[in-house]
Amino acid sequence: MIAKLSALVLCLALPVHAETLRIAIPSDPAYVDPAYFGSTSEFYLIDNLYPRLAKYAPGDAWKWELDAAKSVDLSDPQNIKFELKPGLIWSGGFGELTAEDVKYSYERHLNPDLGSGIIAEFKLLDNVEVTGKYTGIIHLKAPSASFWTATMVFTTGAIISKAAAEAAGGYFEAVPTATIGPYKMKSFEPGMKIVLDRDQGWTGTPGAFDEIELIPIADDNGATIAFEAGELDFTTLNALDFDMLSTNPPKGGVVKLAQSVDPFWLGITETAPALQDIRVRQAIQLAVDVPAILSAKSNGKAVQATGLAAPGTLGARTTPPMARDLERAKALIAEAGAEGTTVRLDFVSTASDGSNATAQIIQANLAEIGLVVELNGQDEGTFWSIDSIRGTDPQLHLKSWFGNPDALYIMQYFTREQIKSWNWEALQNDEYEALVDQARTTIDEGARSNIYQRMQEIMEASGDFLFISHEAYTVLSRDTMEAAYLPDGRPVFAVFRLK
Amino acid sequence: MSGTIGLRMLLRDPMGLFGLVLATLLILSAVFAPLLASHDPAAIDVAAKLQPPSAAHWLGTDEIGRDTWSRVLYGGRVALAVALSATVLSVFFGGLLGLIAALGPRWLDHLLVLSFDTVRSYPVIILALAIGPIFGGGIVVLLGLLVATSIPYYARVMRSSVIAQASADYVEALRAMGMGRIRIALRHILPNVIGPILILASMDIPAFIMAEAGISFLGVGVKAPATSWGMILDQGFRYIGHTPWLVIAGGLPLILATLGFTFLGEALRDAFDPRLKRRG
Amino acid sequence: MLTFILRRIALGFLVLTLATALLYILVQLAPGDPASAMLGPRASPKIKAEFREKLGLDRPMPVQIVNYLIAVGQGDLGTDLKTKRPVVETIAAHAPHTIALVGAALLLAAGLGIPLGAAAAVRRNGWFDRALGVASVSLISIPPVVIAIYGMLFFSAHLGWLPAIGAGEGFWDNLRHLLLPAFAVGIGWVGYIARLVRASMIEVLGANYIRNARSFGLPSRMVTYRYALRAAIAPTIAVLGVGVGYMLGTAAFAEIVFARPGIGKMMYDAVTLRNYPLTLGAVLCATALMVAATTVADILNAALDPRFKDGRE
Repeated sequence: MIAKLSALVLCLALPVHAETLRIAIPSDPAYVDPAYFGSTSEFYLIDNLYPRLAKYAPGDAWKWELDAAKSVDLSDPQNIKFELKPGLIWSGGFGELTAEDVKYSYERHLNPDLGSGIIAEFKLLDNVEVTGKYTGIIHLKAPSASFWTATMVFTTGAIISKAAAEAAGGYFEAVPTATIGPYKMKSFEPGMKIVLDRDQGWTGTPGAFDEIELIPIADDNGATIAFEAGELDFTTLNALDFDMLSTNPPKGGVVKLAQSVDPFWLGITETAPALQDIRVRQAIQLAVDVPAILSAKSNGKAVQATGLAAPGTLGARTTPPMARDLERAKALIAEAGAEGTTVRLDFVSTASDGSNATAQIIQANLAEIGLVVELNGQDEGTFWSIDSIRGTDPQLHLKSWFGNPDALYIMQYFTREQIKSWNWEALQNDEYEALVDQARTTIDEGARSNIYQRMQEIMEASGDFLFISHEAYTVLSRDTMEAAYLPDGRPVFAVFRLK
Repeated sequence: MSGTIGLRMLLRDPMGLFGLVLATLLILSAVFAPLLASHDPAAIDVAAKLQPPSAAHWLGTDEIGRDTWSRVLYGGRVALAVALSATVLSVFFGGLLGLIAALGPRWLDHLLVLSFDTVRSYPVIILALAIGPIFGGGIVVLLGLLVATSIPYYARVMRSSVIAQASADYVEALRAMGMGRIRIALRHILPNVIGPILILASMDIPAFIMAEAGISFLGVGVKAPATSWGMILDQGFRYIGHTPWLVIAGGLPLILATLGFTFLGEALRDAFDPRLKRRG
Repeated sequence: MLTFILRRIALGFLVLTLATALLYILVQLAPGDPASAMLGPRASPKIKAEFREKLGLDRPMPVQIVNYLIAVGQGDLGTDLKTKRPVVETIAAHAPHTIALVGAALLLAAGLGIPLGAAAAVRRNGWFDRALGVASVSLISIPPVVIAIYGMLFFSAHLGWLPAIGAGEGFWDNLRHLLLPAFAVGIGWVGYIARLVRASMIEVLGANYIRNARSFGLPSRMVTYRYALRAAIAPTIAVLGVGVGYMLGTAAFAEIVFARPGIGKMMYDAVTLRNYPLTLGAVLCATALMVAATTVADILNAALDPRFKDGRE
């Protein structure tokens, strides 16, 4: 009680209003480590706190620019030469960023003991050769175009401090000890907020804010209310809110629509006992009313997907999307003798982003063909940390992954090796696996595009995937600042400016 | 206590009459929900989602275009079914345990009273939040929770009324005539105490309705595709920025139902047994 | 009196112990692996193994119960699976918000309920008394979750007078954030207390010592408010003691609607996280609070009741 009172007195005594940027995150981070990230807040933090050789720049189109690297030589698609900028100092007293850190950061994913979640992305990596304090060469096992675009410039290319990681026991939990950039982690109060403050060791362009607060608000509704109440400056919401917010924007709010490359699909696990029969899986693909989902979830702002590659990106399919056919679905179920089967649908149940609506539509659609769907809504963090039930028994799962303009980033995960990790669908297809290898080492864009399209055909034909859409988001930001975000709405803290 | 006088008093009390009318309407609307509903409560029409009230949808639609009026009607069925079965079950088991405590040996009485106190010490909503998900939620778990936490209340009332009656003169007389304890209890005491207990029970119906809605609002009660007023409130809360109609549609019947049954219960009590006090 | 107090406290502890044991048994009845039931699917194998070890899950039920009681008795409610900190710490961090809310609701209920009840007793059977009677019953029967949502809809979203979410920072801001939730939690009890105060005031106004006071020539208004009110407050306190337990439940709704980081909101979030140690820990803490409130109320009631005789149940 006394502690509480004195804290209260302290609060009253503190000077208010340093420049603070307040950003909503859907849930607390668990691991701010490039080897284990998965949830939105982990993406935000890894994107913004760790350096990469080059990273995607904020704006409407996916374009990369140099970050920690002074120069990169991509002329040899098997051996990428880089030179780091000198004078980039890790926070926490871990010294300067060197080529050794780059070597450590990338090669660690190959260490099976680490259990890295992004091991597939680094499949092609042979080693990183350190040729000087700031220089090195990334040697691949085969020439690749996608390694740079899908892996290096994306979140997966994050570089961590070797010294800090080793001191922390090999990986970082929610509070990373060494970062580089205008902001560093100051404090983390689970469920309350994460505070970043200025990194005094940063010599580049300073950030515009003294502090950045990341506030966990699980639902769009709460985030909108908080924004209206002036308690939040930036949030990405579901596209469902766009029409409402743009016709009647909250006071001081700027409302924009962001079309992401994040695929949203229904995964249908082929090893689940209830779903082993391909006819049942195909019936599910045919029974779900995707246009209804798009309307309920995004007010029609997102279009029906034909695959994982977003429209306009390499390998996007041009075939018409799957059409609903209840009669055929019913016939397939009858043939398989599967009437009355119960299946569980796992989904991320944040309060108002349409996920519950989507799940209920699927439940109703599948009831029409005689399947009983048990809804299992979870928070984002639990959903992605594969829990004991899903780890042993995945069935139906609605999910959206952070997309990458290079769709191979996602498609390379649906291999046998990934079955207990990311390949929840348990797709097992020899041709597909051969195509993954081929895609990684194909340089020619036209040829790659054909490979990607073939891979998506296989996915759909397996009955394991029902492609729904690529997510559209509403970006809500305060008019006193210039918000900076990637084409999919992910904020780039360092580039936010005050007007 | 005379039934006809009580009934006449009830009808003369304006609030009681109001309660009676509301409760009757509610019960009728639940029973005849399939006839009154304008739509299949589960029918999805996303093109018509989140609409305000109109001729086609009297109370508007929810986020996947289901008709709110029809869902409210079917939600009333769930509310009443849960409230009535919770009342019946807890009165029955509570009454039985209370009777056993009052008539049984002293040690059993102490044991039972202690266990009543123990179960009564849980805050129901908080307990539901913890236990509901562990047992998987759903109507059965919800009902079990409501009944289990209400049994002690009726058991205590039954126990003390039976004990109070047991020392009454007529019981002494019956005993002197050589009648057995159990027989006296069942034939003579029970009919005298059951009336007040039933009135108390009628006053608990709104509490059960409220509890069902509250627990379903929290997402640990009634599960989709079934519907409940609490779930409609929850949906409305999620989509409050889009339309206020869902919270209004989920909240109003809830208020009317609890108001109706409360007024009715109060009036019943005043009419039939003015000595009874409402529980704290 | 002292023996009564000691006995009552001992009974409180006994009930709390039994309630804890019963909760343990209940959770063990849940389908599936008992460690998973208590810890949720998110627990790492390490946490599960430690838990099995601590409670001796391979040993007979009575041993497990005793182990559990010992652990709880030592303040060990397990590990919060989200923050990896002891559950007690997480609960302690959230509890002040709930306690402030329940406290404010109690203040509101008593602050409005007592004068309203007293006024109604003085103007017995007048229009005010009748209106209050209807209003009391109505207020009691409106679900707090509806009051919370409608309150937010009207005062925050429509009028923009009061903040919609959070607990605020700094004293005045805290207070502003407290208003609507406290209203939602407390308003039902205004009617309740008003009714009780009215009833006991009417009883007291008719009692001998008031009549005596009047015959000694004290001015009537002073008699009414000083003597009668003092006598009327006693049952109110007792009711408030019981009310705390119910308010803990209703506070959960207000906290969820207003995103106020109290125990109820914490539990609600923990449910989607399947963070069971936290939810079970919260039940135990809330139960303890409820038992404490009932015990204190019973003792206060006995102390204030002139008819109290030692040794009665």
